[in-house]
Amino acid sequence: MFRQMTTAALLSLALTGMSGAETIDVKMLNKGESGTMVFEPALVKLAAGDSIRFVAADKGHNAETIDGMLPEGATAFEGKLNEELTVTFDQPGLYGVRCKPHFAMGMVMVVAVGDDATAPDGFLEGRIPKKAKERLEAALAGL
Amino acid sequence: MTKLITQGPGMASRRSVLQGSLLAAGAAALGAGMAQARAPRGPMPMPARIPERLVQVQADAIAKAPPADLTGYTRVKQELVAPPFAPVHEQVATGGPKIIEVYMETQERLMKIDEDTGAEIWALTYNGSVPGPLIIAHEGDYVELTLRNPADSVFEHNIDFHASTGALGGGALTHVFPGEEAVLRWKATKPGVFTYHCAPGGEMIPYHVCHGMNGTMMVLPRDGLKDGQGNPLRYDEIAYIGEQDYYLPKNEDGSYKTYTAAGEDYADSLEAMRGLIPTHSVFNGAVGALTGDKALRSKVGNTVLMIHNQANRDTRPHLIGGHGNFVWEAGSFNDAPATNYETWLIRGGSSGAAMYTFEQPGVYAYVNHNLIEAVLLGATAHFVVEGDWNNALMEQVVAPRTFET
Repeated sequence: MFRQMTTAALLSLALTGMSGAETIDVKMLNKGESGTMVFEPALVKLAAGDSIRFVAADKGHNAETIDGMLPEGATAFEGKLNEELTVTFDQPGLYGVRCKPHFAMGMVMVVAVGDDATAPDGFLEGRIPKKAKERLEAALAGL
Repeated sequence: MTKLITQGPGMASRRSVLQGSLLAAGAAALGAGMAQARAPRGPMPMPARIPERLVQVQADAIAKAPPADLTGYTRVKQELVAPPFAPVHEQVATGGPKIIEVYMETQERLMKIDEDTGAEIWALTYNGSVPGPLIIAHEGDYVELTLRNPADSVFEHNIDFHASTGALGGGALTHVFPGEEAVLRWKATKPGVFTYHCAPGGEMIPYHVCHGMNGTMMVLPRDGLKDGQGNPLRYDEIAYIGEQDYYLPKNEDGSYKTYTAAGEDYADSLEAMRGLIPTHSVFNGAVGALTGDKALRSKVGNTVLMIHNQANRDTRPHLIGGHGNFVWEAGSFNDAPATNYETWLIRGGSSGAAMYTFEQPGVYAYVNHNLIEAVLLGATAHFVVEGDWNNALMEQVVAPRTFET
């Protein structure tokens, strides 16, 4: 825990300086309030420059961008299984994030960066498992 | 540009560099706090992904292609059966070429691997068995597979037929999420025995293959099998054997871990697989699946075609007390079979076939002749053969007795 806090402190210093940018925790869970295999929360709204720390609360998960579900100019990321990952979102827009092994079970979330982030046309038109699509739709409804 | 920082070992080099520089910057600011950061373990390749651009090239080409001309083909259904058995089929094709319809369902199920130790796995299967069912066609036929993934599955699945041509063996055209089905038709242009297996992408490929998702597709020459002189070779029965290497995660005390659902072992399995040493190498899914009461049955004078699939790892079948009279070691029926082999090599990622005619009754052990794997890891099957003993071939001249010193 000490290491994580220290690193988080390092990150916020290194990345954001005194700008007031925030780091939000998202837990990767086998079971959460909305069912099994979830990111919690499943929708996070950020200002550009804020970060998400994906916390490996349960084992066997990772966080990675879903192909075709990130803003123009943003870089895809791919976390390792079982490991914490902190990502800073500088590019405004909508990001779809999944856990690779539990994608088919609907382990997905939405990151909205910027005040007026809305789903671009075709955001949900790629190949998405049914359960994942339902949860993405639910998350988008919360925008 | 999205920046990212990772904790923990084993990130790709670009990220490690990024991490290093950021942490160094942090260290300058915080001094001793830097000591808490772990050094990266060094670059580790990220799973290969096929770029979207290339996938699109294929999709565009497919969209432009004219439909196949299927006139003259007859549709037939092939009812698949669980191994070690073969579906009803002809050895020599009668009539014109066929479109052979087969149906497979991806099933994720808890399977006992070893009754003695209680070792079990949430197997990923085609139609519930390890290996998946044997499919048989003749050269020039089409195989038309409906692949269905039940809605309550954990994983996406697909199928790569080594016997087929294009689109990653059909893998690119058969990705099915839970609740989906796809239909793939491909022409069997090359006679032989070939592996098929699931290949959903990246680390999922070895994970699915090492959880049982593989089997054999047999494409017979239209006029049947032949020896090196062109004489017909016919079999009375097929013994379809899939050898499966499992890499079961263990607890600290050496016992096997148990899981409550398919996929829960994902991270542990990948870690165990990295060691490349299987905890089990078994025939047809479990230790003893083809021994004792479940032994294969035959009789003197019968000819058996032994089909051996190993989708992942080299193996070396040997029939103790018999031979491979005719062996298509690498699986191609266009090649003349080798004769009278004692042991033959099945390359990882392939199927091979060997034909033998039983000449003596009794028990024959069919093993992976790395005997450690046969005996300690489970790669043993038995043939129990009925018939009359032939003393002209072998005779016990003196039964064991004590001798004078």
